[in-house]
Amino acid sequence: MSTLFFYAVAGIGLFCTGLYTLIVQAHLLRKLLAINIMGSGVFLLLVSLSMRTAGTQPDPVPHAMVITGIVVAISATALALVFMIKIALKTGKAELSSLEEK
Amino acid sequence: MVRFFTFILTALLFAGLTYTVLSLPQQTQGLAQTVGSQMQNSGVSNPVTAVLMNFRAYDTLLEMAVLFIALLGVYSLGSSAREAKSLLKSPVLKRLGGILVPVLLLLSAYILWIGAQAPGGAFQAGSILSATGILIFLSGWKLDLSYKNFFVRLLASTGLLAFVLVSAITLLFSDTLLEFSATEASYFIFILEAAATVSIAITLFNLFFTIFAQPKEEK
Repeated sequence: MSTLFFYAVAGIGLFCTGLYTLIVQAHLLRKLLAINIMGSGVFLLLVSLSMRTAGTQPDPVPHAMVITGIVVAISATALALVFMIKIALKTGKAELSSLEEK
Repeated sequence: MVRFFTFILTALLFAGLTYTVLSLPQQTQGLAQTVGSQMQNSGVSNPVTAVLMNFRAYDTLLEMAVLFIALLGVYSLGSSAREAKSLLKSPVLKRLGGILVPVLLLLSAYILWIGAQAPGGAFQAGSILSATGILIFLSGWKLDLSYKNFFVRLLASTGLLAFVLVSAITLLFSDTLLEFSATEASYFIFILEAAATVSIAITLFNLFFTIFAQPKEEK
């Protein structure tokens, strides 16, 4: 049982915490933060599992996937923030529940 | 009630995923050996950069497209109503910006250059450069980096344009997309990384800027 599996389990923990928050919380900013926390968990999992090589060099392919993932996460977050601001301006609150009631 | 069920299901998912990860082999080579054996043909000596810019350059091309589409989305939703002004009126920030901006530009260029041999590269350099842009904006300099400026739009699309051009060139000379021969790989990778750095910097800055520049009320 090496330490990198501890990091991997921590990554899964972050992912599940984010998923729970995403489902439970109504406010869109909290949902967005939850999605980002889920993403961070996935990145931590990928990086820790790429350290399983016996040699000194970790596997570079998951690292490249993570750096791509970070850029995509930033773009998606920015776009979602703009959507959220638009919804808040139109409806007066940053939630989607009011739309379902109508 | 919903919370309770969600919690139970999430806990089950956590248990399942943990079991899966812990039952993975303790040691595996993954693709490290495959990458290592091809390193001398990649044109760079940092394995992550080699994967990003050579072996899986197609992913990076699509990633630039994702950035560009996100900027287009933000641009089309953002307000064109008024100019954003820095809300911070600090003389300290103005002076500090004057000292920090050249240092940050140098740091960004260094990180871009070192990416061929060590950790670093286009995305890291681009984020530092975009932070420089944000510092310039917050210091209230008279330098328009918003996409209302045509030249800035051109810079924002440089990364994607360079990738598409290089893809076209490699398609003409070899039959595969973004496949570099070992001799010219380093030149191509540097051109792509430099273009990507500028494009990432401008894009990230403008994502920040648009969200920052939302007007307080809309009609």
